[in-house]
Amino acid sequence: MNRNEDVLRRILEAEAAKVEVRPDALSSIRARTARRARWRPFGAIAFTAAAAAAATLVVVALAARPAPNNTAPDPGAVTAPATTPTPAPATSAAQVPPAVTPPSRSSPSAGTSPASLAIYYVSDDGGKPRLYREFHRLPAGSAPADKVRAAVAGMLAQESAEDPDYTSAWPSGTGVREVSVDGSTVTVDLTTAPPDDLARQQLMWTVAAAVGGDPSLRLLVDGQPAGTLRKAPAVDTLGALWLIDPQHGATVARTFEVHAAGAVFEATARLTVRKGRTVVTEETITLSAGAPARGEARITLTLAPGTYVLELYAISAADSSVQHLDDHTVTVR
Amino acid sequence: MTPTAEVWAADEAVTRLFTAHYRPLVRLATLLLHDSGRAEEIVQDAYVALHGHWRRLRDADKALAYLRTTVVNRSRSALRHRTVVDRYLAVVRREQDAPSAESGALETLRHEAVVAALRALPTRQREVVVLRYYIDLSEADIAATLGISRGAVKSHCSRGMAALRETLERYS
Repeated sequence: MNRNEDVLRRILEAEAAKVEVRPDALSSIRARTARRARWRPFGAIAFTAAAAAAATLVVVALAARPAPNNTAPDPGAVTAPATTPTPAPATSAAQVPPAVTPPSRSSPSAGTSPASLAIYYVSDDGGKPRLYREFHRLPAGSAPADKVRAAVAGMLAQESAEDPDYTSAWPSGTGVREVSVDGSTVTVDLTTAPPDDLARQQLMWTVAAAVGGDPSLRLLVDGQPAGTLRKAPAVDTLGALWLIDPQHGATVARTFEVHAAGAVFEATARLTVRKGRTVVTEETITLSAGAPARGEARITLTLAPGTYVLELYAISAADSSVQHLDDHTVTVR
Repeated sequence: MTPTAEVWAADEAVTRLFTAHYRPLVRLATLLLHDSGRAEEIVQDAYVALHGHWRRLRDADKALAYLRTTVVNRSRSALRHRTVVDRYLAVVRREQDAPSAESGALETLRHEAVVAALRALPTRQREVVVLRYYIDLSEADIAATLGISRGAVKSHCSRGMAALRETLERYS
């Protein structure tokens, strides 16, 4: 066996050595991190405040109250977050590339007011890629087709997610050709075919959030039909836990509401608030419904000004490990 | 906004970790994925994500572990893409069609056969074998990288090696 292992090592080494890297790799990474850094709202204080670990927590008012309505909340329901997603709307708007903009029925005219639109992204949930949602303020007309176009263009824009954990399943450079909405049928024409089902669902859930309800989506690629999509079941598609509000990078008042949703065992999630390496508070949150249903909960926190990381997760009943972590960095002013 | 201490720290971390680990990570992803172009995109994505996470990692060891886990996870998702599989099948077919028997030395034949056998392994087994024999990670580190137990690492590794054994020994 040892001999086999040595041979395998040599072969792997030789196979790997065939691979050379692109000469411009570091500069492309730098270009992307710089683009992201521009709208990160927290500054130098973050680093020093984290070092000065003495947490200056004032009060933690905890009022875990399951959502009052008894009906299971629609996980895709579009409820704009109470806190404005602060990360410079202007920057986000500028990110939406008019990449390929042929004349379209959704023609976003200049001067339209920004709308808060839900965009779905992909993140890792215990080794499985799942969808997560952010609200972005994007310039869009009031017509459904305009909203769909703005949301889809926002989704396709490179590095458009505020949360660095969130990515898009769509290849960069994909553009929107045309969008139309006819009743509950939405037609979207893109320049690139979806690479996989997850990309289809990322698009499907983003479109459905923009028009509301459970529409069907006719997908075209360069004008050619590429299938009709419906939303796949939430349990197979969405991240098990979402920290809906505050969003990553948000600036909030000292007393603010944390809005969580998800489908977890016994409807029980945990919220840990960290400042640097110090745990400021840990709370147990009871959602309005347990898995497989998706429940919601809102709790109120009061924190001293500073930058915090809010971690929402569940504890595995089997081995007490942390599962389904969704975390956001938030600035309290 | 002027560059802040934190942004500089994250930038510097990316630069240092790039110099030390970028090429090996691209090679790792290529062994897992058999698509060096996509492998490089995945590793770049991992560095961008690392930059966003730097505040919480702030430690070169943790950062490398983070990069590895991210690269392995994203390679696995990318492997699900039909297109990658198709491209790989096309490559395999080309290789099988090639009249390599007389042109290649025994060493070359074995190399090609082992690489093909590695590609044919179930994803987890390939991940464990590559982490173990390409980057020489310990069982504990492999378990942490993949988020599985040490027992599972052991069994994936022995099954993977058992599947490769016949090919490894055929040309000895």
